[in-house]
Amino acid sequence: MTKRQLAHLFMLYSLDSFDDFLAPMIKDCILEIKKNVETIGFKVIDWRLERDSLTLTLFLFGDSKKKKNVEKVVDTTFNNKLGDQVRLRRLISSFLDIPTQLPIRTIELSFFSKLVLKYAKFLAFLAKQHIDINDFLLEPLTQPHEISLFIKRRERTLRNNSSRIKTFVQKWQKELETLNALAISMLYLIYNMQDFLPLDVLVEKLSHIFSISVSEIYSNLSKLVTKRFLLCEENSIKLTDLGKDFVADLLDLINLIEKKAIRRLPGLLEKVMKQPTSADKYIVYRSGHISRFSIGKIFESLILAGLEYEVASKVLDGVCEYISYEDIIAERELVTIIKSLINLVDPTGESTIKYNYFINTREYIHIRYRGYEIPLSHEFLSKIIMEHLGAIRDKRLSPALLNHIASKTLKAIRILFVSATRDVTREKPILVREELLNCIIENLLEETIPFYKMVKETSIDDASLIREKIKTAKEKFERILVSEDKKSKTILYDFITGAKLLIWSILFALNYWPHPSVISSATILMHVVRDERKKSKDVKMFKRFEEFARRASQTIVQSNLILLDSLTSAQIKSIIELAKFGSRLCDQFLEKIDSTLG
Amino acid sequence: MITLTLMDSGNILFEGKICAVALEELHLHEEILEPNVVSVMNLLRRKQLFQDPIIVDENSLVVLDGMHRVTALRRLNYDFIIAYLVDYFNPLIKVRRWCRIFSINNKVNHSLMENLISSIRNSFDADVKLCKVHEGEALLNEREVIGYLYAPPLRETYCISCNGVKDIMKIYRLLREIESHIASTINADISYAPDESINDFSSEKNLILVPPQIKKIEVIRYATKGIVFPPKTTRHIIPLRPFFVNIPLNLLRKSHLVSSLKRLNNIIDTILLQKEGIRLQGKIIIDRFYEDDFIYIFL
Repeated sequence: MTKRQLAHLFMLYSLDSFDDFLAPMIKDCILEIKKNVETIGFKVIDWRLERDSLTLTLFLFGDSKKKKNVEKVVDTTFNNKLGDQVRLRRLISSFLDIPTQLPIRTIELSFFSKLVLKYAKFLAFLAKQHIDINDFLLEPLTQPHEISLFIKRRERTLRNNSSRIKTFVQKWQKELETLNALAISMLYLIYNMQDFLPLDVLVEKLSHIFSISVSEIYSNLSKLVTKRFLLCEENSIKLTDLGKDFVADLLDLINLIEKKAIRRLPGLLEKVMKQPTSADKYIVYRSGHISRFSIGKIFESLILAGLEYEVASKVLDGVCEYISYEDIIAERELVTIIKSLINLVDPTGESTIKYNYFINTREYIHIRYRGYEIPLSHEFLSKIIMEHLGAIRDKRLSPALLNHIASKTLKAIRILFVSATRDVTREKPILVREELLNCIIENLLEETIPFYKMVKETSIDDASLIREKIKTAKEKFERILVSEDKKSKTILYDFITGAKLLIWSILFALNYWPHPSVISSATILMHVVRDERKKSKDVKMFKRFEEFARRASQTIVQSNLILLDSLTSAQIKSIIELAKFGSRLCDQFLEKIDSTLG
Repeated sequence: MITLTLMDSGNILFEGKICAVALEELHLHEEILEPNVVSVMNLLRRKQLFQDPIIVDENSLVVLDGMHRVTALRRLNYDFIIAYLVDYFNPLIKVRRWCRIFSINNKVNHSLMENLISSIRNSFDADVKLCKVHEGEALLNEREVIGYLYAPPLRETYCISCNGVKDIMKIYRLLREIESHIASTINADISYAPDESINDFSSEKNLILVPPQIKKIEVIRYATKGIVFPPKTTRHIIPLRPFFVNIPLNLLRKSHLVSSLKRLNNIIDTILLQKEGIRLQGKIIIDRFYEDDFIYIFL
């Protein structure tokens, strides 16, 4: 009998498309794959779908000699279950080089390692100079620039906890004197990554985090081995008990100081106000997307997540403090900083849960939809909204309006279920029923999209609806022209109503759902008309539509641009001219409708 | 800068750095094939992502692998490219050759070989002699011949020499012409195979042209002078090769955000640090067969 050789198998598939229905379908496939590969001695350890790169990765563990069988099982299951709905192509199938080297996320550790590095520099300075902490704090001139920046915010906390600092420095005097700050920070990372890691993997991760050469990392590791903090065994390295004691002591001290210093923040957004407004800071996402760093956006997210103002403002001050020297910030690093700060400011964990719920809505809320559990997302809601609209009329919706409705619906559902968030021990996501979602969307569309409710509830055809609306629009324009009191704001109200109905009707006739805002509808109409003009023979009519939409939106905006509650003579003149134009356009459009739609 | 490392018992065997480099500073060493460039350009336009780093010698900035990607980005007016900078003279990086495999519909026989050899002699004023495979290899190493033809069904090897041509650039350019001549004379399809795997092509319908082994110093010498070898001259094997960095293309152009190379590299480090890296056993097929010992995937 041949001996089994166990190994980790990595498989990478490319997808030709991605939508929210795909995730539960793949999940179903994985459940079946799990059962099927078990019969040949394999186990599925992990899997993930990546939207940005359109890939699916699988980690399996089992008998390396059965790789071909596993590949066949996985490929067949995907083909059978997914059919033509999505095309999956296997790009890679290979064993992990080092069995223990499963993915290790380093970015979260990066922020803490930088903080540890600052403390290490400060403590090593005290040890090397044999200076008492209290004397040191009293003499700012003796403080090296980098350290003085670090102690500035923590000064009072450091003084209040000077005995703890003295004890630490005395206990580890020799080590602090001989080790450099980088080596100490490296110890922290080794402590946090894994107790046992292959040497080259460890060195590689350390060099990524500290952005220094491998040889520099290696020389520091050698020092740590000499100091008996690390134990080197062939191609691996691990912390000794002494090393573990040192890191645990150091982390206790850092936690104590940071906790007290953060809680001491006044929460008056003083750090935020001190930030130079010209400073260009950017957030870099894992996908490579980059957005400008905005303290306002963070504040908005904390408040929307339901955090108390006091907590949110202290967290913001803390964020500004921690990122003040960076101009490029990793999104994941920022989230780590915010979460850590929330925990420090509100140790009950309530605020952290709220924030987690807010930023990870996809994980917290699932919709049971057509038998699948689909994570709540903007994309998913957009799709459902379009399905609802499509069931009534096959018309287009402007992307801006779709985005607006989807994002508001997402926020509403999130707020609706905020009371259902529990602590970190929640195992299953919140399940929202399909009927509830449909009800919300339907009601929302009825109240938001012009003509939607009318078309849905009556059997009226497009031509009749348009005729009816145009008739009302014309009445409004005519009322302006015969009005005796042209200075009254009634003519503006009539003009807006008439223009709105005319623009909405034209959009509806051109196969678009109108936007509830007359200005937005006018803008959409101008864009649509430009495209339609190229296809149509009746260029004149389209030019009139475009001119009316442009002038109407200008007039409405200018009418709002007055402080006093009366119209100027220029505005009145413009409204009357446009009412005449609108009235004529209603007649021409009705003629057109009669000849085309019947 | 993200560095990938291979170590053994505390010794650094190999390291490569992933970073952006200016396209204008790079030197190509092989001619590009126009259809391949067009296909890479289309892929880049569609995906808007730069997927796999090109391989570049850190000291000379000669591109070892990725000529088509460099050309495609240059044509699309980008300023930077994502490269994997390596020390080309690290002995773990191997430069190998591509054998030319001619496949015909019928068996390769004596009469076909006689006609072919005679036509090569006449067309290129070449000296073609029967020899043994190991003799052919030895003569190739000495650059006494420009290549040898191996006919698997006949077990015959023919060394080709041409008026004392010893310069590697001239040899490869001449071989390119001979290659086309053979294909048209015997009406064959050409494919390329690593020299280690020519036994897999010992079909009775195949004929194999084995070129000389190029040296690293020759690659650098010509490329830095702006002189490029014909396509399929080199085949590089890298001990640890990265894949799927997936950097958005818009970052590879100078802008307010990407004001300098230093800034871009800072951004790239930040993106890659947020991804998880895994090292896989190499010698696997991805979009083609990769002979590298290990591959590194960013997830």
